[in-house]
Amino acid sequence: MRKGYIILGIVVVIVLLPIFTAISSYNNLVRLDEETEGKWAQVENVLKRRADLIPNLVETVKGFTKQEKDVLIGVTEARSKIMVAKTPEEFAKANAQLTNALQGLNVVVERYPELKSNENFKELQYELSGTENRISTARRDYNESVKKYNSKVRRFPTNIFASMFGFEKKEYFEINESDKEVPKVSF
Amino acid sequence: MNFKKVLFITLFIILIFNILALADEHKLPNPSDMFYVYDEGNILDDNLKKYIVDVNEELYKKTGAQIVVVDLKSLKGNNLEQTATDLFRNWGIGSKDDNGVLLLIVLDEKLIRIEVGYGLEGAIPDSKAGSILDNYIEPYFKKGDYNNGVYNGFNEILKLVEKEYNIKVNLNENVKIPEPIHDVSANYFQKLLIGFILLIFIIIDFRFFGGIFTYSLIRIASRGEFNNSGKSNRGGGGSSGGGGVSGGW
Repeated sequence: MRKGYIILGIVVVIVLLPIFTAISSYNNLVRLDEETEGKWAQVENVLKRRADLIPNLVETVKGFTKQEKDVLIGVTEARSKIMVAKTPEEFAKANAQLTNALQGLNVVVERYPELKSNENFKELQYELSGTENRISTARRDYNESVKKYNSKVRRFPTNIFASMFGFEKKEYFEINESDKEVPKVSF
Repeated sequence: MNFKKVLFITLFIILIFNILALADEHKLPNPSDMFYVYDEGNILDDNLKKYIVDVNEELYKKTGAQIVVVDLKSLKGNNLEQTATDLFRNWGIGSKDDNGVLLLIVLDEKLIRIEVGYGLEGAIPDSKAGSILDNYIEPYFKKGDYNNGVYNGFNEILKLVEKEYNIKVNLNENVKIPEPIHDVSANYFQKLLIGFILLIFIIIDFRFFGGIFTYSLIRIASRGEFNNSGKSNRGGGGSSGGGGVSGGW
């Protein structure tokens, strides 16, 4: 009789243990998943914020420079790509393109001293460089949370439950090596 | 190997690590006892520090907002913006609604940044922060007058925060800002020297006195640390998303 209880106890433990592990793994994954989603929302938010500054910038520059249409078209095109981007990879590409276009504009602006001393332009310059830094902060936060999430998804024993409940690895918000530094848009 | 020898070697290793820690300047500083002012370069006058602390205590009581002034000697190769954000988050400047502001000054690189927490980005947009840098801080810094630069910049930031919360911080005191001070002391070499003197002291102590002095010093040091813990950090738990502006002089 006593032996029977012991066996029953062992069986209960063997059955319950994986269940408890599964529950806690699942909850952990959900928490980390939510966290990355939140951080990603912030990345999109600041990328859009930068994009929203572009029309105003283009208008201001246009008023001072008559012959530089190509550069401005490049900037506007890059901006529209951010507005339609969906995945982190698309966003990263569009963002790098906009950064390059702005650097091209930067060179052009050097030739127009009146533009550089324009109050409106100066304010835009602060807003723009402030947003660049917000982007790099948001990107850093997002990538850190993805790293945490991905290592959880891949590590034993969580990986078993991750594949069971359909948690997949997430993409980093990455750019190529040359763009690693915070882009400086100083006019 | 007897017990004393093991202990000696252990202490020696600890000492070496301490010297290395002094040399490793990548670590972010902890808040000072005053919390609201961290004056590593020793450039700010005591009156000004007291003013900043008093204003902040009043402001914190009324709104939960905090305006912290930090000057560092050098960034040691780190990025200004990232250092500011990390400091901001580690210290938890501002309260739960992230209403903190950090004015970070780096002396060697001549860089300055106003970092604004999420909650105050509306009250202090980048363009406003930029004009505070341009018009109230940098002109003084260019003349080497850190006290007036910090004083005026701090007051401009304060005005914007007061407007946001529709309050006024009233202090019954006049701040006298003295003439600029140019004094940056205590360098790396001095730290190294202190390390070596300590090392020689420990060797002599163990050789002739059996380590009595070292033991009691360690005991005192650990007790002091115990007393200090918990009271130094008074941040309200605010965070920053990298908002604000950077400049130089």
